[in-house]
Amino acid sequence: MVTISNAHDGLIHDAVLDYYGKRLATCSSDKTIKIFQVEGDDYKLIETLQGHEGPVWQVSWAHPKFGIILASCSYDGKVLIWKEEGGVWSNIAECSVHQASVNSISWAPSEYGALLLCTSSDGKCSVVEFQEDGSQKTIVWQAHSIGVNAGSWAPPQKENIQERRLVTGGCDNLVKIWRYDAAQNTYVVEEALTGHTDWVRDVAWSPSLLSKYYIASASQDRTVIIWTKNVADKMSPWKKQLLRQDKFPDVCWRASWSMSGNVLAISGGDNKVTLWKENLNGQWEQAGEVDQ
Amino acid sequence: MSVAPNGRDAVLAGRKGLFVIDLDDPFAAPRWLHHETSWEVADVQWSPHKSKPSWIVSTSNQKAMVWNIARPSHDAIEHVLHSHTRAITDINFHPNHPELLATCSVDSFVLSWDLRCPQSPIHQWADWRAGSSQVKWNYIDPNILASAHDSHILIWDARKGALPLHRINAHEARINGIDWSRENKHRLISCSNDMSVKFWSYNVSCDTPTYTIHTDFPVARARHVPFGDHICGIMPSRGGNNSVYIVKYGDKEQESNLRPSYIFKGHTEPVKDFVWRTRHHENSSVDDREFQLVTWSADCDLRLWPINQDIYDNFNYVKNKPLPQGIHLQDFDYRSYRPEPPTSSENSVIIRHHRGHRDAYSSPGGGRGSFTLYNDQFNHLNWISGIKVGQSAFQNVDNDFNRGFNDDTQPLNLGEEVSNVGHKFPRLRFEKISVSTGNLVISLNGPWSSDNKDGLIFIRVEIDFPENYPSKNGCPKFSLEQTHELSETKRQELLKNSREIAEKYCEARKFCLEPCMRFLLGERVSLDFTDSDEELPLDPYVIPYEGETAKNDEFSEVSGLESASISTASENVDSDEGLVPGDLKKPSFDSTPVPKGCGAIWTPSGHLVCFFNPKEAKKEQTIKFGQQGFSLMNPLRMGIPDNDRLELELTSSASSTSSLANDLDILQYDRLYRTNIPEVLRGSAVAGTLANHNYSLSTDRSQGTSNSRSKHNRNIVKIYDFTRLIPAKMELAYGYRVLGDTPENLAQHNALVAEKYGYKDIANCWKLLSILLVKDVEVDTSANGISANPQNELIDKFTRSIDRDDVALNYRFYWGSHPFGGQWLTHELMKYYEAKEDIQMLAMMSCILYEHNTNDKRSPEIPINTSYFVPVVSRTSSTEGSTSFHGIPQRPHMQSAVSFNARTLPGNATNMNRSMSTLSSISADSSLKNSESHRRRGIKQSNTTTNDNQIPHIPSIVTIEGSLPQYSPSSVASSAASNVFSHSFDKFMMNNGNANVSGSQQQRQQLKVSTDFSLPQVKLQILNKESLDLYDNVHSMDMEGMMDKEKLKLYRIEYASLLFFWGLPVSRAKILQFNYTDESETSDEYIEHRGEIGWIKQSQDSYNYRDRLREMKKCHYCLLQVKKRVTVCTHCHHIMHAECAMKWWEREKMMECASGCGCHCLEYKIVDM
Repeated sequence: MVTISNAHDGLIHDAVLDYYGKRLATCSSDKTIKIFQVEGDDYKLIETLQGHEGPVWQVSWAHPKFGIILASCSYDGKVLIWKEEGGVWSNIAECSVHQASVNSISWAPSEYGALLLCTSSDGKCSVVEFQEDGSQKTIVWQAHSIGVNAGSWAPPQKENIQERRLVTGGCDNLVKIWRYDAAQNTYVVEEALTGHTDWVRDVAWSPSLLSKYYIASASQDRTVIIWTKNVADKMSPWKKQLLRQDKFPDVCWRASWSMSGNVLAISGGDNKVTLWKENLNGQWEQAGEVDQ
Repeated sequence: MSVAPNGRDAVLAGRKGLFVIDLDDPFAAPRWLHHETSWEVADVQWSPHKSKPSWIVSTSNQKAMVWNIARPSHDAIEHVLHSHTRAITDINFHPNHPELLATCSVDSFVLSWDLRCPQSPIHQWADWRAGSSQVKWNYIDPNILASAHDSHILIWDARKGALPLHRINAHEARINGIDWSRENKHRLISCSNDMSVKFWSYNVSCDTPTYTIHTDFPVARARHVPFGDHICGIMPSRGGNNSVYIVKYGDKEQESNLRPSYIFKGHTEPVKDFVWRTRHHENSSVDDREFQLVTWSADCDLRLWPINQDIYDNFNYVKNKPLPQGIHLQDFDYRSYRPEPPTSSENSVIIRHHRGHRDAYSSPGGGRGSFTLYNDQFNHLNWISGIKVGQSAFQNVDNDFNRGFNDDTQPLNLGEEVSNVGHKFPRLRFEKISVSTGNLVISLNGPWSSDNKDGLIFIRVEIDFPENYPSKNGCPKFSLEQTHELSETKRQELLKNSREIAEKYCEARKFCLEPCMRFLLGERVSLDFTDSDEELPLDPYVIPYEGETAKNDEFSEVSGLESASISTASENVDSDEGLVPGDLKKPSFDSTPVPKGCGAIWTPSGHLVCFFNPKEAKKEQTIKFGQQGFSLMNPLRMGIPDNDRLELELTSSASSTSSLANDLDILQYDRLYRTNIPEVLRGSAVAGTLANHNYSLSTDRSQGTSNSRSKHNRNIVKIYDFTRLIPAKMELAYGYRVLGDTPENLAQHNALVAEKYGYKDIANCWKLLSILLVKDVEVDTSANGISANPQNELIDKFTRSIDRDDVALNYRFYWGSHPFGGQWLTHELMKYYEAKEDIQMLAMMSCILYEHNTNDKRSPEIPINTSYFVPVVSRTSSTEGSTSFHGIPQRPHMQSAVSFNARTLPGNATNMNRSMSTLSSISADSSLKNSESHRRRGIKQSNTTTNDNQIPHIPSIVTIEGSLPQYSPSSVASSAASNVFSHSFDKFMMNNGNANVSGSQQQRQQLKVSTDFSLPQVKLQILNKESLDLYDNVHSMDMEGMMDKEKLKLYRIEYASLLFFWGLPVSRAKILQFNYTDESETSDEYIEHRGEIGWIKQSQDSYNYRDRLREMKKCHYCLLQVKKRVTVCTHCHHIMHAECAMKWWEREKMMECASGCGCHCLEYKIVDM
């Protein structure tokens, strides 16, 4: 097991392995992003990226077909794109459409191209498209009244690549599903799901292409809700299911689906990570726990 | 750090000089005795003697400075003791003799000084070899002293200069601390980096300690506790939860591990020193000493820990016990040396000069020194804001959201209030702050001029706060200084109004300084503050930071006021914004959520990356703080605001346009950030020093210690292996095959792979599938009546090992067409794995079955001919596994010593019995499959087409031997291996063979018999098999009816992407090929697959490859962008990196395009460019 302690001088806000599991990117309140080379149980710091002027909330690796690309978002309202070429990391792009802290970023399924979803405390979401010639096309829309805390893309729609969907969670305690409207070139709200009683801190759309869509939303009200919908039946409503009937002991920070197998990892304010799996009866069972 | 013997003052030494803190009035700014030095101060000691209560010794490299702080600060150095040649490491005052002290140094000398003649030492002792780290006088015998040198201790007699009395080879590593016993003159404690504390009685033995404590951290100090019996305090130099451990060792012997009786825990960084502060009544005849532990740590906190009665009880310290005869406690003047001693007027000018020009107030640890201060009073405010009394020091550490947020906006005492106000209104000048007496003198400019409405006049207000402030009777008293600008009526009016405001607030037990100051600054103050409270949303969940909202309103008012005062009373409220550079244009309040304390993110490989930001702070609360307990921020950290302060700090920092502007750039984010984070980024202040230290810690071998969750760990990132939870297994992916053999063999192979890694369920499933997949002919159905029994036996054998009962009960027949066999079972299997969300099984099964399905179609698009891929990358041990597997299924081929190539057409086999025809058709089928694959693989046909399935049928063939020649006009091959049924045939081959045996029991007997005699070496070869139309007779399952084809495609896509993440691009391509068999397909994935990543098909007549190069971007093999050398197929226009093409065509021996388009690129021209 790889353990890296005190990688940063401040709180760590995100740690993500790249697609091949070789590079680990971490970001922190110390305004830096660190890239570690992970090999077996060994790790090596290979780069410290500086450029943000505030705590860096999240980092995200782009699909490898775009190259070795890392996006980061920060309290300073900026999203920076980093690229490694020949072992040298450089900042290749910056988007600063937001007026306040950018709380989450998420790369779209690679089929859509290099699309990055950013959610911000100014209540807006943006989808930035990085084009081959280096230009950016940005779609910004108002999403949640007080602030948007998290966003996640739906897995690509098989029958129609243009039918893009994403989910956001915000300070209005709502989980909203958005659909790309090519005609207006914006995202229109398709569904506003109510159920949480406090800020939604994270949403995650399961990448598994199964018969159902799965969305997990983690909230400060100490609950996690699994939203499901039948893929085939377009008209069916989103079903709400509490991940666990009683409340979690503390606020729920993050939700993360495994690439396959639909295992959900929830991290909470009690510094515990719990793993959940749906059993054959459709009930969610705890499948593991990681303590600090 | 050292505490004065009277217990009132503490002295801290740093590179900037000495700081004297009055522990009874921590709000007062510390006294600063300048001594700029580039050397870290190793030790500072306050004289323990009554006769010299104001003497302090500190080190400065090889010199020892003797301070007399009764003298003015600029002139406080009494002596400089300079005789050591290298850095001094320790100082010790003689316990009895006020003028004597000993120093020790890295130069290995121990010197003793008489302060009456400080020019040269009076004694010197040397170890000569090892530098000395500690020196201590014996408490009882005035001539004895001990010094620690590297790993041994020397005991000296002051009267005997050359040789030590004793030498104790105490430890295996450097000794960090020694301490004599106060009760027994022969006893001492030593502690060392070897993670032990040893107790010695040097009169008993110098070789073996009386008692040894093993700790799990290197010990920096182990000292006797001044009260109780045989108690010592142990302080780790790192690790050990940054705590101080109190241990009773009274009756202990031999060795033991650390079993502390009490732990003082709370620092977030290693404790640098701990001392005891003691108080007792004067001239008392009883031992009524009160103790308080003072610790000071690298986290820049100085903490005072009250000692509760239960601790005293625990350590057998009985208060008010009569003192033994002849002993009395020394009485000390309880006075503080913090205030400057009175000096003549010239001197004070000099001091002021000094103090006025200092800047870069940096910590001794070399932390951040960027906080520039312009005047003393601001400095003082910072000092105050660093002080936390009692619980408040720990208040905000709790992330509990249920806690009211209102509490945080209220200061907790006058000190905090003053610092709040001071930070909020930078235009106020605090001329005097005395929190302990409740006296403030503030001067400011207010719009109270009687002649000029807009003009500001200077006013000075003195406020006296009563002790019970703020309460109804505890209303502060105001007095305004009379000036010529301020008319008497105005003055009275101001006084009256501010008193009114104060009363109003105090009645509600609210702090009133801020509204009063706002009033005096000329702002209208609403007295219905209660209303504003009600405006706040009641539900803290909606807007958790309502405190801030309220503050922000004030902030805009204040800033409005300020800008008014600058730009002469314009009403432009927001002019402030432009003045703060780099400020975010914030919404009405900052809705940035609190950072997540921990998180877990899945990786494609099934690992879980977790990060934690440990919250030790919570545990700190378990330590009870009494009335006196408070924690001090180190003066050297004044620049950094503390947590409690944060909300208020926000407004002040944002509104300040004056001297703070520069700092804002640096600190703003920190502060804003902190407003939302109760837990601290303490680290940033000490980052400079600690980063290196921690770094070495985390990178060296001592990962164990960092794992042990010592408080060192400010944050942890861990990667856990949770692949067991993910149904898709990477190791299986390395072994699995989907192409290159008959489906049943592939299924068998996959079963073996799964078995090898211990996945029994999956292995069983594959076995079932392989049975299902055996191509059977309909003739057999008619023979069913006869041949059912052995089959059932076999199937029973299989199913018994299978867990799923329903399968076992229902699966009775083996051919695919049977409703319980093919359709039902595969359907069930698919459903099962769908429910299990095992994308790997779904995709693999769909591939295997798919091939089966399309075999009876015309389409030869299905690339069943690609050879098996052995991963080149050895990521796991599975490489060996897969290669060995690679061999197994091939074995029958290689061993085709006896190879039959029956080509009995069912229709033609008229002269045979029915069972014979069955057999031969089976074999024909399999052989055809094999031969076909051979053909496609491009292996020359001259070698014999083998058929392992046929081997069991040898007996039956033997019976028809006579008829064989007519079907095999070709050569009868010679062959070797006499024993085909040797052990080399794996059990599965047997099974497989048996499964194919549709012969009767009788035949099976025959088979048995036949193993005994050597077999005829006959070889059959099929000629012009293309003309054969055996496929028509093959019965296969209809996948379409069972599963949603689209769904299966999705599974394959998803599995393919997984394979890609796992570094198996070839496997990915193979899986994807099943999705793109049909040319007419125009799904989006198809476009993606063939178009976007790769060559965009243009008009066929365009042969300008350069033009097209611009269109195509991605290599089909590795999916990365193509830049330099490229190979393009002229037929399908798919591209690859030159290296990838090399790999694909040469190393993998592939026949088809990597894109999966089915193009045999090698048969066309491949352009290299």
